This record gives sequence, C-alpha cells and structure tokens, in this order.
Amino acid sequence: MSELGVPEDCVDRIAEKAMKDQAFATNPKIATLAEVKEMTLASIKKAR
Amino acid sequence: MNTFKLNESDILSNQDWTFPTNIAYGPGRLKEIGKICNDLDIKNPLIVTDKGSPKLPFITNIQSYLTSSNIKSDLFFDISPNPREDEISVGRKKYKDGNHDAIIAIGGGSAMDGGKMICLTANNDVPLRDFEFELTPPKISKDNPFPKIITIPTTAGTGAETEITGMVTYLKEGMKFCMWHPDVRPSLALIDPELTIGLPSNLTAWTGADALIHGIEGYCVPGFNPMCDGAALEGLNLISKSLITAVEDPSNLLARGGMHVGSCLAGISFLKGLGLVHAIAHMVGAEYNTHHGLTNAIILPVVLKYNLPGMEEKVKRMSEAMQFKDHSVDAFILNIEKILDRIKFQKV
Repeated sequence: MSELGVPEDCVDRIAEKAMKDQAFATNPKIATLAEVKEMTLASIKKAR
Repeated sequence: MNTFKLNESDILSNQDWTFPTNIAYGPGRLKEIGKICNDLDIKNPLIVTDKGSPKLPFITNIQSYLTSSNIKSDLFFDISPNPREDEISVGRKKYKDGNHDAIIAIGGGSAMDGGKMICLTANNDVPLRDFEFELTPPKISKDNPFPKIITIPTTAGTGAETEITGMVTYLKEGMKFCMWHPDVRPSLALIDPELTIGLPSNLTAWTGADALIHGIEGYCVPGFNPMCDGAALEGLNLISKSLITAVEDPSNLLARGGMHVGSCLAGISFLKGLGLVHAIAHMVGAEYNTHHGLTNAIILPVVLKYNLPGMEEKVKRMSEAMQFKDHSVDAFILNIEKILDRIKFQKV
C-alpha cells in the first residue's frame, strides 16, 4: 500500500483502529494487537 | 481456474427474486425504472450517486426513463468514494428541500451506502451516529418511516444493494463506522449487468476483488448460518467463472452478468460479518482515501496466510466452489494470488 501513499509510520494507529472495527470481531481468529500491526505493516511494505 | 462455464440462458435472461429483498435481475432492466417507481407509488425520487458519475450514461438514461414515465426527480451527486458524514447531511437537506418521497441510489458502493445513510436521517431528527452498528437501533415511528430506497449497482463488487448497512467516514476521528437499521432494507435492488459494460478494467478488477473477498471473509466467519454460507459458496462459484473474463473482455455480457449476481450473493453472505481484511482496509481508506476494493485486495493474501491454517474444511468447500484442483490451504492461497496476478493487481 506504500504505492498508494500509505506510510509505514501509520501502522500503530491503523492497527489500533482496526481492532475497533466491527469486522475485527467476526474474524475467525482473534488477533493480538501485535499481529494486526504485523499484517498491516506487511500490507504496506509488500503484500506478497 | 476458469475452466467451467456460466449458463448462458440463465445469466442473459430476466430473473425476479425475493431474497433477501426484491431483486430484479437482467440485462437492460434499467428501462423498467419508471414502472418500478409506479408500482412502489414513488412520485418524486432523489437520485443519489457519487461525484464521478453525474455525466455517465446511466444517469442520463435513468433520468430519461423517469421523465418518460411522468416521474419527476432530482440528482444529488456529492458523495465521495468513501462517503463522509458531512456529505450525508447535505444530501438529507436536498431530500427534504425537494419534498422527495424516495431515494434511488445508483452507482458503486459509495452511492448506495450514501443513499442508505440519507434514508436513515431523512424523515427524523435522530443523529446519524445513533445508527452505529454496535448500538441498539433507534426506534422509528411507523407514522414517519424511512423513505423507500431502490438500489442500482453499476459495479460488481460492493454487494451493498440488498444490505441494511452502510459505511460512513468521520474525518475528525479518521475512522469509518458501520451504520444500520433493520428497516432500511432496499425495497428493490435492480441488477442490470449492462450498466457495468463501460466500467474500466482496473475498476472491474478492484471491485471484483472486493466481491471475491466478501465471499471468502463472509464464509470464514464462525457460526452456523447456512443461508449466508450457501450464498458465499455460490457467489464464489460465479465470481470464479466470471472475474477474469470480465476484466480481460469488458464487453462480455455473460461475464458481467455472472459477476453482478456473484457480487450480490457475496454481499448477502457477509450478513454474518467480515474479517481482518475489511477491518484494516476500512481504517486505511478512512485516513488515506484509498479505493476500498484495491486496498482489500492488497491486504487479502497477508490475512489469508494468518487466518486459513486450521480451517481446512472451510477452505476445501471454497476451493471446490471455485473448482480448484488442489483443496489444500496452501494451494487455495496460491490460486487466489494467481487470480489477483491475472487481473493485474501486482501493477497498481
């Protein structure tokens, strides 16, 4: 997502907000904040 | 992948369904909008669309069809790709000032979410934020119900056309919130695949990936809801038959129809909920105004690698629905990545 203008330094903020999203509550696995940060960062740097 | 065929006689003919609301499907059915309004006793609808659409043919066409049925209407198009609370307020004022009696929300997810959000507040003084998903829905007087709303998707991705929810961005908080009310379900969803024929390849891919992700995330939500799960699997089936062709051959009406119905089914499936792809994408979109489908598609592989190990039975069912040969978790993720590669997601 870095190519879309999403900077790496937003990871903490985005992850914390994502855990308040209604969709977070119905995810099949309950992720920790650290795991959400890790997935967000991976998506910003290189998703695949 | 993509080795099996859509049923042409089904996809290219008109169909009327009643689950989860009235759905009029078929190529060219936008022409019926005047009759539909008359049947629903709608005399002065406000057409709601997004900022990018007011000059597109489907707007001039719907206005023309309404006029020829002696139905007056007005157009509100100040809805951003990620609809904002202040835009909903402006739309509400336009609805009230114009003495409208219904809303026709036509466009992508932003237009349909925007239309639904205007409905929530059009006939009452309840603050929009009171309709937040996690709150008890406000009581709405039967003497002052929500306006009727007709939804007409012009992309195959959002699945918003049958839903009772919508996402709204609050800029001060930099967050998107889900708003809803059980009584704001559209009176009719008009699904005309001809409306997606002119959609550019990149938007076809981005919105199509959104539909794919709705099916996957909806199906993976825990809980026993066979209606949603059935919709998810049939949606994934249709999407897997149609998405690549719709991107590579944009004028292929069969593929456009398959995507439109597949997207609608995937939208029904996430009545159960969604997952981490959407949780992260909602907040990225709220802060950086990124395209929802594109953002979802970028996040998807990372989340699949986290979520799917241990969900072998569900992965097998999705893999069978999409007619992949190897039903393992690793193969499923690889096949999804191949689809994203094929529709050029590696090139933003």
